[in-house]
Amino acid sequence: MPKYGGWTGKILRVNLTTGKISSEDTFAKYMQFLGAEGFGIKVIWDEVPAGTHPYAPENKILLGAGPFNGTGIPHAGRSTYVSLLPDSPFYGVGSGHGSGHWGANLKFAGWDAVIVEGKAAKPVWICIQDENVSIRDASKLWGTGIYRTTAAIMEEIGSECASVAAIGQAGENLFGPATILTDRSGSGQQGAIMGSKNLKAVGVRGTGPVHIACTGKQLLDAIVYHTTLIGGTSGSMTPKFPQPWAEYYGGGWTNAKNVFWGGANPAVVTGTCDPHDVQSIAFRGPGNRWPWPNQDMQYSMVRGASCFGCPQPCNQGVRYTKMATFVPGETIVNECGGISTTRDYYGKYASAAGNDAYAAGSWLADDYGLGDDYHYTTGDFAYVVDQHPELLKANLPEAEYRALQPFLELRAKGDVKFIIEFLRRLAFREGELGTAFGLGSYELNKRWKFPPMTQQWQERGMGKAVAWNTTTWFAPHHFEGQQVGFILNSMYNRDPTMHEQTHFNEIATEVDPKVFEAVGLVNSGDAIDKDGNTGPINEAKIRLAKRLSADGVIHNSLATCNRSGASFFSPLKERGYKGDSAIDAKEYSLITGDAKTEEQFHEVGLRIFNLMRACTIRSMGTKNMRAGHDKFPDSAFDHPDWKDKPAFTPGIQRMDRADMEKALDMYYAAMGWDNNGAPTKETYHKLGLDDVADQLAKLNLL
Amino acid sequence: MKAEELHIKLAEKVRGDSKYLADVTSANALGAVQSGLQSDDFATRLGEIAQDDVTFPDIKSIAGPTGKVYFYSQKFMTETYARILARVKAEDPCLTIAETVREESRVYPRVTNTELFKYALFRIDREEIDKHVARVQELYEDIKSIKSPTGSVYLYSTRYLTPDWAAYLAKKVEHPDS
Repeated sequence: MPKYGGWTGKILRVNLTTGKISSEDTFAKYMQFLGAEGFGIKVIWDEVPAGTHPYAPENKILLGAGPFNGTGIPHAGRSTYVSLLPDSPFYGVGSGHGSGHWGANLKFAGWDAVIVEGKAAKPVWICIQDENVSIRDASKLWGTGIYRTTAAIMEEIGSECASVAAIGQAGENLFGPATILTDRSGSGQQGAIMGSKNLKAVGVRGTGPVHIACTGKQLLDAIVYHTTLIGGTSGSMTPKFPQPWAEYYGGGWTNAKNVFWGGANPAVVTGTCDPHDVQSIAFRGPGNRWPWPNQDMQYSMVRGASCFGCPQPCNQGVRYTKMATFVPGETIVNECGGISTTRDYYGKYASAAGNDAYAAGSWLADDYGLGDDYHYTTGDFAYVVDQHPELLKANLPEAEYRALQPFLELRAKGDVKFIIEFLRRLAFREGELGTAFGLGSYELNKRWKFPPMTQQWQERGMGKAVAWNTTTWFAPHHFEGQQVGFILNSMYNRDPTMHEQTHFNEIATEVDPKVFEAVGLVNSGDAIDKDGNTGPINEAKIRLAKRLSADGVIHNSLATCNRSGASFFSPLKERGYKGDSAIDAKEYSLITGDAKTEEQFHEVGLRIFNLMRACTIRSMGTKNMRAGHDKFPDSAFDHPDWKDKPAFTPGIQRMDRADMEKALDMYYAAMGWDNNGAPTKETYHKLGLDDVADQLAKLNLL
Repeated sequence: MKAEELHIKLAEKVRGDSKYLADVTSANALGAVQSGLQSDDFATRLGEIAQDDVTFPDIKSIAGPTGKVYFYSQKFMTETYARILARVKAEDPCLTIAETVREESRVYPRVTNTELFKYALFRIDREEIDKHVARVQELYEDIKSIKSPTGSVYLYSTRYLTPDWAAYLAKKVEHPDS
């Protein structure tokens, strides 16, 4: 029995250069950083020197779980992969996130995380079977897709209960946005890091327990309580259609009496889904969610699929038999972004792309491990082809340019053959097209001499598929909520993957704003503007931004779900739709025995967030983050569509520069940072990061 | 039958309609509960029941757009749902659409996708929806439509939303952040 519950107490370290496999103590060095993301950032800070190229053997990747994985706590089936981001211009630290059962299996095997360092001389995979760990030959798997790799490794381990975190051809060929898929699902990033280490997969089968500090009854009570806070996928708290039990409607629960999973045998009617009936949580969504272009796809829906211990399947398991005409498979299991990504490669012809293109594109993108759930590559490609086709002609060799034309004509018709051809070129980095797009948006822009970003913002609009700022170069994600969303998008080295923030704004559209009173540390309805009716910055919005800054890294460290699992709200009217903002702290205290209040737990998140900030400051070599990192796109303040329309006009998304600078001032102050956005020595000290402050001081970065 | 017994029977009838039929109850439909009483009598008695928060705290009344009163049990149905049903029972699709659009523009606020009215609850002939959507804008000057880039039609009320705001909300509905 480890010193605390939840954690196994051991972290696995595998050096692929030397073949050395070792174990180290979780509690001595890492416990105050909570779990996967916190552990990973700590490893990068301690062990990876500034300036290290992401693909260099000196870079490291931590694949980790958290103290909740494997315990049965809902929404705790995730896993997180931390490393230097493959396509960050300044090699900033960041994470990718996986789902399935991999994190739980790692814990059952007796490990909290795996640190992979060095580079194998030839393709390998890491086999973890409880305490038995080996580096195995992956020569026969290299060059194959994730589906085949996953099946082959499960067979070699000899258990259908094994979990596999694998990359496809995209990761092998260092396609920047490539993903790691765990148990054939997951979304985004770090696949190319594994590829750079000749690491095809990490397969794991655990048979041991995860010890907890509380009694079984206390755990069961906590799980039952947690289910009263669960809404629908992506945190929505209301049904899409009016239901007899619902005071509000219009949200994301797609269930209804006439909505069914027609691919199941027999078909499943999703029904009315009274929120008191926890057995129907799975039917609230997905279903015929918006990624599918055609409502007929509900005839193909077989079931939802969820991570370990999660009652809320956010992945859609779809059988689309016609798909077998185009690819070697007829089922897809993925969430909305994973399914819809390929739509955007069709750009202005997206509406012409039907179910064939969606299905085949989604299957191939998953098998190749292309990732790109957040549409970086898709946006750049559509921009070039639809708005600046001269860039194709200027940058592609003539033969490649000519060979591409028939497929672009198919694209204009929404033909599935386009996506099949195009995704292969990306995954195998074929020609100049595959080479350039695989470098990531920043290098692609330089290599192909894209128009200046100021022009792109005007042409492409401020939204997905355009770099948020010219430092991080990541497309924004979840930037609703205006000032809060803007701040969050500017603090990370990639998009913030902050679904919890989206919840606030979805809820604002779905229910009465009174629900925002007494939401934990935020505690004010002033934190939320009605969607599309932004007001000036205020203290409540800053409290929300600070709270969410900590929550994001807490969830990525606990390896819980920030998408559907955040619990500020409840679908229950008798609770006033209020969730329990202290639930993470309560469950942490229960599982680990390390009692923490909501405020104390929030501080753990701030510790991780500030260590990430320190990594970024060190990577960039400047402590002036306001000027160098925390920038906003010009188009947020000035866009032709908003001519003569002032900021804070309903429906006008123009932001006010002075207001946003004031927002940064207020956020920096609330975070204990100086006027340039660098944490102060006092802040590092308060968070137990004195050693970090000392190192930064030596670099003149404090 | 004593008045108290009748009241209990009437309340059970309302609860049954709410729970099993997902429907509101009108006084006209209560003949089976007690023969010999007129619908006016039922209306009076149901009104008394709905006012009795001690004995029948869950029984509530709601008026439709024409003033006709219906009854429902809060145990099994929300006021929101009952209000929609009371609208629908007026059998005036344009009025149903207008009132629903106004409510969505005011409460959430959001623009209303005309596809919503295909939902069976609204009891509007699917083939007639486009005709009603055009007509409702002629009948009620505050109801306006907006077409999204993908061709979907949304309605909103100018009492609560400006054209700019409605345009933003329509775009947002079609391109939600995943």
